[in-house]
Amino acid sequence: MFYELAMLAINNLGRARARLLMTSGGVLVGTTAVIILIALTIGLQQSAEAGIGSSAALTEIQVYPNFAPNPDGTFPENVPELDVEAVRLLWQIPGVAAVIPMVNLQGGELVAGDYTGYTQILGIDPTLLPYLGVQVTQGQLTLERGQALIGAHAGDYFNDPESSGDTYQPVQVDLFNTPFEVKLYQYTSATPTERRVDIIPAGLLQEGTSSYDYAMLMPLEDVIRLNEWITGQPVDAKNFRYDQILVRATDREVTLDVSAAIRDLGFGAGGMGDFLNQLNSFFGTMRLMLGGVGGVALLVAAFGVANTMTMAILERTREIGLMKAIGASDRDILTVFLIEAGLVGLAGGLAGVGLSMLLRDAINQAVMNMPAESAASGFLFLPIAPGQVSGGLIIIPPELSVFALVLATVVGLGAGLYPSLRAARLPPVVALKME
Amino acid sequence: MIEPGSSNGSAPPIIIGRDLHKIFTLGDQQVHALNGVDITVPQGQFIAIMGPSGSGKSTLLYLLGGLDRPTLGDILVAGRYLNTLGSEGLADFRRATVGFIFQAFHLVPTLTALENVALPGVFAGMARDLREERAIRLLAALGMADRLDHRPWQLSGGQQQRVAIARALFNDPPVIMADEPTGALDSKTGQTVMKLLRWLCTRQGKTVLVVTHDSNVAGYADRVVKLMDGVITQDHRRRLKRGRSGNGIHLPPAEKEVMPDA
Repeated sequence: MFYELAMLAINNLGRARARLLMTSGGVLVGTTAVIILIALTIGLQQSAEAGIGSSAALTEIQVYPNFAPNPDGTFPENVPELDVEAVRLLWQIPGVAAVIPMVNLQGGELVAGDYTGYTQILGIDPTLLPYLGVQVTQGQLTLERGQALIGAHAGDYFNDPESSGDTYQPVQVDLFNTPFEVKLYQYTSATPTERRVDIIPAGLLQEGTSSYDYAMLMPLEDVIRLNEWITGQPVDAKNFRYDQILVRATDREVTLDVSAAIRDLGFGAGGMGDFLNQLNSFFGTMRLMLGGVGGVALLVAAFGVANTMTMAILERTREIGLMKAIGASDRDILTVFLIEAGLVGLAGGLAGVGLSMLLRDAINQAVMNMPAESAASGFLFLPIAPGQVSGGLIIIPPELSVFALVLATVVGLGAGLYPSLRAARLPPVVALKME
Repeated sequence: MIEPGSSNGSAPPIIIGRDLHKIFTLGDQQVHALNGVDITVPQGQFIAIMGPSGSGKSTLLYLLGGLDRPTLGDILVAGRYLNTLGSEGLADFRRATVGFIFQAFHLVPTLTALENVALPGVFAGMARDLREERAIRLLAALGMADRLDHRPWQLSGGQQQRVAIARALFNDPPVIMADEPTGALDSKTGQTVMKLLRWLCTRQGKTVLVVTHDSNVAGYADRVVKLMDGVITQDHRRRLKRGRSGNGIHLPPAEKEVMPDA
């Protein structure tokens, strides 16, 4: 029976094709607006994430002593410091995959043949390397005593100290394949003592996957021992402070919770994960706002559908009376007109999805072909350079298309509901007598 | 199928209207379309309701057919007390009990003759092949076998009214109600339609109510009820001339050639 009523509705749609086209056209514009605007925020979000860092960065939290003033303007006393106890407390936070404490080597002049350069040397527990979010392009991701993992650009800014002239000429040194040593000075006596330590490269870190492009990683114990020599002071477990602590959350969903727990312990917490998650909520808001703008277009279309259905019912009042006279129930009439309204919405929605895909291809192509400079000026408000985005500026996931189709149909049904109810409730004799 | 009806008045009543009032409100004015009508129609009777415009004759027909509700009064048709039926119940009643024929035919313009005839079957929830088979049989019986796929605008007035009659007969209702069925037809075509209705009454035992202001049309009826200002002023049983109600009436298909196509 539903099939037959649907066929009646489809027959009816064929009556006023121009009107159907224009009404569906309204839904088309509304649907396209919703899809494109939401797809834009999805594209921007994915571009932003891709531009900002690897997925490892999303679960990374930097912990630092919080010297920020209290809300009342006073400064906190007894700020918790990055000591052994802090590491123990951080490990106990739920959702923490690893706590990675690090110590800076106090000095970092490197000598490779005739050239010297400076780099940050970080001491890290070798067993925690898998949690650091780094990869190697050469060698292995391991650290033995006397070894180092070398940042991709650690050797970029070396120079020859004996070269003449005032201009600084950076020289790139391949630290992975060139033997080099670390030059350290002890200042405990009047004349500094110099010491050179040979470093054996264990691996070369992949570029851009971490914040260690210009740094070098060494075993924590080595660094602590070298620091002891530099300062002339043995390390005292009680007063020992780490220079930085990195916390790795188990996945990105808990990153914000872990950050909050770290702040509850009195530490400062930051990092890409935190930032990105805030960015996500920003994009969520943006999506709602832009989706709402599209929704307004769809709302206007809804009035078009309501108008068309009201007109159709006015025109066919006598027919409604006839159908009732030959046995159609109110529900039958309601069904026929609701199907008509729903089909108007669905037709507009389908056309809207099609148009959106065409627009997406056109826009993405245009952005891709845009010279980098004009992209930068044209899209200055964007947190990314769209031309460098491989995924495209407009991204329409299948769920968005389905959502838009359902939305368009629901808009049609909703707009048609009142006119259809009125048609269904028409007393047959009134409908029949209508001229 | 109802036994072939007789017009001798001894058949049980199929329609009873008691003290029917209908008041329309037009602006701040109240119009009494019906002002206390009592009417009983025996099964198988052909009754013509006559009267000038505004006499309330169509209103009476619509009340008895369940298309409208009386302001006051009781209606019992084919064992159903219409006053207590809701809108679904009335739809049910109309589907099963009454076949309507209108002056303006009221065919659905987007549907073919066949689909128009079968439309009551859609609302009755009948299977498609059953519907079509039945519609084809009815149209063939009315001499329209070669017009099944024509749309209403491709048919003459007489042909359209025959499609409408086939539609009225689709659910095999015991009562046929016609509102000025010949009003839009030329006199010859009108006669053919009236003969058809007469035949349905005499041979098929249908109870037929025809609203008309044409006394020629009333000539086909067993009984003529005249209305004036919402009350019955005359209720006249008539003996039909031989040859009109007798066996002289033939099945419509035999008269197909007689029907003008224009």
